[in-house]
Amino acid sequence: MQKLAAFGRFLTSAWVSLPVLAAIGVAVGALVFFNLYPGKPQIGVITIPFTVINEQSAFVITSYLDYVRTNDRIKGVVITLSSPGGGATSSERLYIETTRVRDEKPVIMVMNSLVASGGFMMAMGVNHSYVKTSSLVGNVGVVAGAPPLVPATAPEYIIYTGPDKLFGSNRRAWISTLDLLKQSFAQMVITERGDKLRISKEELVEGRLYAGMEAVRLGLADEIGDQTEAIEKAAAMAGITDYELVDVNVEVDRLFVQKIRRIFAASDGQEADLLLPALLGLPALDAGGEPINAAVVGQGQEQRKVSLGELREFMINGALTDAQEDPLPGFPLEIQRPNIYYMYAGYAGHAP
Amino acid sequence: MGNTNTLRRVSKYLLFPLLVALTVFLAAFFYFNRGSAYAPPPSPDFPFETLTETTSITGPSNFVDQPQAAVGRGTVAIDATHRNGFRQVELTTLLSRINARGYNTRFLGDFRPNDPDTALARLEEGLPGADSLIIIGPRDPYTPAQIAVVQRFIDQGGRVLLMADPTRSHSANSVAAPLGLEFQPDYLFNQRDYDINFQHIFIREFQPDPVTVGLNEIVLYTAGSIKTSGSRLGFASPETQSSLLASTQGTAPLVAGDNRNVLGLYDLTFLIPPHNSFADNDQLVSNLADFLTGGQKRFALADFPAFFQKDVDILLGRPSLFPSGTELKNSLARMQVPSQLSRQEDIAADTIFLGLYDDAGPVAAYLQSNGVRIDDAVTIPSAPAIEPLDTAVITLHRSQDRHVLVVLADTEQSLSVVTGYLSFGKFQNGLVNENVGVYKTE
Repeated sequence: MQKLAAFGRFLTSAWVSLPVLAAIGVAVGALVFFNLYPGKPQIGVITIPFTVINEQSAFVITSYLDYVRTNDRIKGVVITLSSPGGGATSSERLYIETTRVRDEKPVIMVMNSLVASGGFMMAMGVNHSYVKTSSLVGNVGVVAGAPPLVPATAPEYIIYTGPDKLFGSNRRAWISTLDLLKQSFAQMVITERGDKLRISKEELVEGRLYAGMEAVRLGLADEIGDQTEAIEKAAAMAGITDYELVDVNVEVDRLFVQKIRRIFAASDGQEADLLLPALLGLPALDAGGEPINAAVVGQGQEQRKVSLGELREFMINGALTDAQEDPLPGFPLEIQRPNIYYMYAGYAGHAP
Repeated sequence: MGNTNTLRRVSKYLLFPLLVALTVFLAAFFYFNRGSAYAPPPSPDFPFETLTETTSITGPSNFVDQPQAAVGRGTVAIDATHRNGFRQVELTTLLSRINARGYNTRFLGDFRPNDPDTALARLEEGLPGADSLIIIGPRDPYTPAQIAVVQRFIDQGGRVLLMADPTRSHSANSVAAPLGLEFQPDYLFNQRDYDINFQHIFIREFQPDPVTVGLNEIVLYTAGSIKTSGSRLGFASPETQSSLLASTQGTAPLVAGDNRNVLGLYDLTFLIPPHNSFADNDQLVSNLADFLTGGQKRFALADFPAFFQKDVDILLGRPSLFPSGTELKNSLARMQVPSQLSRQEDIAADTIFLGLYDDAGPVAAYLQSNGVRIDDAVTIPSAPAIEPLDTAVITLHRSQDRHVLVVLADTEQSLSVVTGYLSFGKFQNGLVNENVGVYKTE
């Protein structure tokens, strides 16, 4: 009996109970980690289906990039892209935003069917790129409208203070500017691809589209592969295993929807849930079964009816808009924005 | 002592959650991060400051057009009957150079769409009075009948400048091919040596020719290739490529046709300010003006009054013909041909001689040169002699620098009738050959 009592004291002594407790703690910790741990590292997957890069699409894509850059759980990013390019500044914005993500976490790109011009510029901002043999990539160069060969003279009631004040430049200077942009695009590719590049600058600025296998041979892309390889590459570069995949498009759209809900909650109480599908481009009916094509926004005297297109644009761009209708009432000239594109134009309207 | 026990007890209870947390933390750290940490690549450093404008042109040239002394009155016609792809303002420089050489310019048509018959009529109406023809980017193709008119014009010594621009759609080959030229559906470019855009190419090699005199370097602003069975006059450098052809061998943007009176040029932009002012482009524009005003077109009687390139002296065979003389003078004035009645022949001046058959002595040599004899009958080449009663004869005598038109009739009344024919174009109905016309005046 005394022995039993001594054994009981031994068991409850610190020498025994502490290691036992520690072992149980480690075991429970391991159980929690492998079954319930909520903080697994993630690979963010951004999918950009065939998209012309303009201010709106660049805004959306930038919001995806912002999301992966600011989310600490996302350790690596895979971008699947198909784009003919688009506006020059919007394309450069995507390149810059991609490099900002690359500064913090590896970014891997899967170039799908067509990654041309401004899209290819965005691809220069990643760590590693995959193509399929049939992908078409490249098309380095600039497309833009130009002042007419014989410029119009401004009417006498317009006063301007310099020869280029009205139009920004003459035709020759404008073409020269475009040539510099072409050179800088090529220089960007040369710098980013570095020693991998096996194509001369002259060949590069021809603007050719290369098939994926050729692009790899010329150093314009890194490997033949698809999303699986890209995800593994992103994880390897980030030094992680047992990761989760996160669909960044869905996550950002979810935030977008939450934002809409908040706005409608502050509005006139319309059924946000009824409107949401319509805003996302899906068929939507109101409570009476009629198709929804407009919404009432604002409060009190500020309340007005807007189309869903306008509303969506407002949601994306905030209060900004590209609308040029009467931008400056009373201004004597129509505003023409100089449009420069890093874009593959394709064959349009050529009848045999 | 009691506090110590309490502390021990508390720390024993804390140990469990601490160990759980520590295990999770360590596992998360070592399990998930089993590779090396991500090392971002260095920020790229773009040497943008090294990028410069790609051109070897330092600025506009200080070319001054120095036309030869005005060679006389003449007309350069410009086709505008085939929906031609240019605007008049784009030709300002070339047309002003032509005017500086003493030539008029005349647009045939008004750029609006024409049916082929109307276009043909415009050509038939306009070309006889023209020395040269400019055809730029016809979008409506030339028909065989229209081509025949142009071919006849060239056969007479008329000069044709055929231009197109690869950036503007055209059917230039419809008229170019019969003249020995073929505009290719391409454009030329150079990736290394260009003027601010790869399509703006330099031409630095020239075949000796009046059109290439004084040219060392010209810049063409989107030029194309022309195949020719004649001569290539301006060659692009070997590294200049065609957008379509595997080789530019045998082609050039500046060529002559089979007939040296035909010139082909596959760029329009270089004519348009300020593009004309770079390199030797202005010299080329002047050379084109010289080409268009330097021909020796052989005029026929049907071309009346276009063959008069100077002021015209009207000589009368007798004083009583004064009314016919003044009537003809007024008609010539309406046709923009200055003239004056003269008493004596100036052998350096273009001349019209009005007289009756009895007055033919002073102009017998001119009649003879055309095979015309007037005595009891009127004898003309390749036709039986005709009775002089109620008849009139018109002949055209051409020498290198002078045209003499002789108008004779049997009576003053017949002469008045036939000068009326000259005034209103009806004289064409009585043409026997290109220099002689015979008319019944009753």
